[in-house]
Amino acid sequence: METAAAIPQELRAAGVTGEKLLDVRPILDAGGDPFSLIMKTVKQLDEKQALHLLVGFEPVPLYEVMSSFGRAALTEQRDGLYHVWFYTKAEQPQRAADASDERAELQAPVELDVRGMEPPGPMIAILQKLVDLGPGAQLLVRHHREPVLLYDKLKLRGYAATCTPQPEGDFLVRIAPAWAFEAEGG
Amino acid sequence: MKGLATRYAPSFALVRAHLGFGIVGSVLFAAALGGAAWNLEGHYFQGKILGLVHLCALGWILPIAFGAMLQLVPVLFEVPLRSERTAWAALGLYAIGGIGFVGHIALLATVASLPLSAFLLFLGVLLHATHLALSALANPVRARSLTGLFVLSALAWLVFAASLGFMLAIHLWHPYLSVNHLMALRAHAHAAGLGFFGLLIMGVGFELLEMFLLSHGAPAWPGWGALALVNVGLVALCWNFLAGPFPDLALVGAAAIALGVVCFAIRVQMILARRMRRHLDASAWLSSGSVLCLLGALVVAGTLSFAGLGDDMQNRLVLAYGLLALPGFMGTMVVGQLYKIVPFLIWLHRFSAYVGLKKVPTASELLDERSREIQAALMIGGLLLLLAGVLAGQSLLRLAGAATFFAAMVYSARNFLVVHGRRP
Repeated sequence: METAAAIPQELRAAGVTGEKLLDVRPILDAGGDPFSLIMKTVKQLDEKQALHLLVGFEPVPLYEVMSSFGRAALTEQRDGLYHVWFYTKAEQPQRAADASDERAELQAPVELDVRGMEPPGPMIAILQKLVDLGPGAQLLVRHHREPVLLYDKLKLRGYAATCTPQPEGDFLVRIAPAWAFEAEGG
Repeated sequence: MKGLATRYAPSFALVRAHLGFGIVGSVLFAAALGGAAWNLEGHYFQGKILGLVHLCALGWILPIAFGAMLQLVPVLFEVPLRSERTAWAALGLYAIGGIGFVGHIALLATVASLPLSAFLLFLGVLLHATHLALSALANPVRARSLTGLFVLSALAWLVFAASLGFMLAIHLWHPYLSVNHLMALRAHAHAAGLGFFGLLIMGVGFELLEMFLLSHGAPAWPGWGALALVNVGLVALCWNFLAGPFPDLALVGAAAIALGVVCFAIRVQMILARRMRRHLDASAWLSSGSVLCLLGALVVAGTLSFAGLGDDMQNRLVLAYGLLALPGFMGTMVVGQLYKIVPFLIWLHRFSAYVGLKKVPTASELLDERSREIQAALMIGGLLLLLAGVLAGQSLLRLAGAATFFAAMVYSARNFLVVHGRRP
């Protein structure tokens, strides 16, 4: 357990007094899935302890999961390695990327047609595609209806969306990192 | 182009509270029906039958309709709910008033607490309807669409039906109405059953069927026809009940409603014909059965109106009409749609966060199809037996039907509990 002196100031201000370090890179390198270990470790922590995760990419889907357990996220990228602290915070957790000035390069938009899918198929396809593409992903989704229930999920993962009705009667949904829309002034 | 999208989904707890209330109510109704089945005959204006009807409508159908609307209005109208606190307050008033009212009406206890319960119930319904309507009207474009007009007119009929119901409750305690109370009761029943529930099912049903059957491009004209004809027909019918009798007006009203229901059935058939999803699951079978029950209710209504029948057969047909309309049309549609709504809600609130982290089941995988098929078979079989027993005047047949129906509703509650218990 690392000492309080090594814990970022923001966490100390939130009342965190200790942390449990978990480096999941060996598991991932071996082709394993560290999710169960991460959840098991989190459940063993008390409110004043944070989970300090070391991983080679930003674990965006974990933010929403941890949020449902009342844990906010603080992410720092140092030399290509992501340090993610999950800690108990009374207020709604901020999108971890807000705390980081380093942003992934915006990828070229990828087209995705979900018109032939029964709910929640479209949502699964969209969220999975975003994970597969990684940070900076952009999607142009053809959808039969405006996916209003998707917006909450996107926001928790750091994405935003615009929806444009099409002449054919369906919708074109553009999904991109929230900071991309902010940069465009949208 | 629209701006950045914002939050729409209501809280899971709010929707779950309404659906849970209704599912418990469905089991209670089925149990009460079983208890009354042996002697389920005679004129409808008796405590036992009025109690059953209101337990079904207020304990089962309406809470689920409210819960579904709280979830669907944001999706269909692309707006957030105006106030979840209002919805919670409405549920509280509705629950207290509804439980009190059903108890009083079942015992025909025409004491002062009857109109008091009815008042709380009326307030709860009014609050719900107003809140949903104002939420929907926040998007005027969607409010003017076919679905929007179905939903808004359904809510208007609900307020009308609730108002009539409240007036009747006061009248039972302290007679004051100048209109015949049985006629007022008919207006109340048709406004609630056809006006609110019928129009709501038609409007929302089109969207849900298209969504889950992956069907697109069905012409809208039968839908507009259904909307206009059912509304006009109901106005004519209710005017006949409340200000009449006007036999010609009643005939025109009934014909318009019948034609409107046929238009609805035509559009459902068009949606089915264009579906990409070829396999029809238990949910689709229940929804189809619901439409058949509605058509059956129309046939019975026509027979009641035109055939010269003795009192005994008249009473049996009225009971059959009630069975076809309430647990038949409304009940099977509610269960059929819940088999889509409940798994989707559980998936959305519990499983969707894990997409990308681990393999997650789809919503339909949260409950095996066999369980739904068994429940659907029991429900439809039980209703058919009940109907046969009522029409034939056979107590044993009615009891067998009620017992089968009770098993169906307990099994449906079990199915929904299984889905609710699923965790990532």
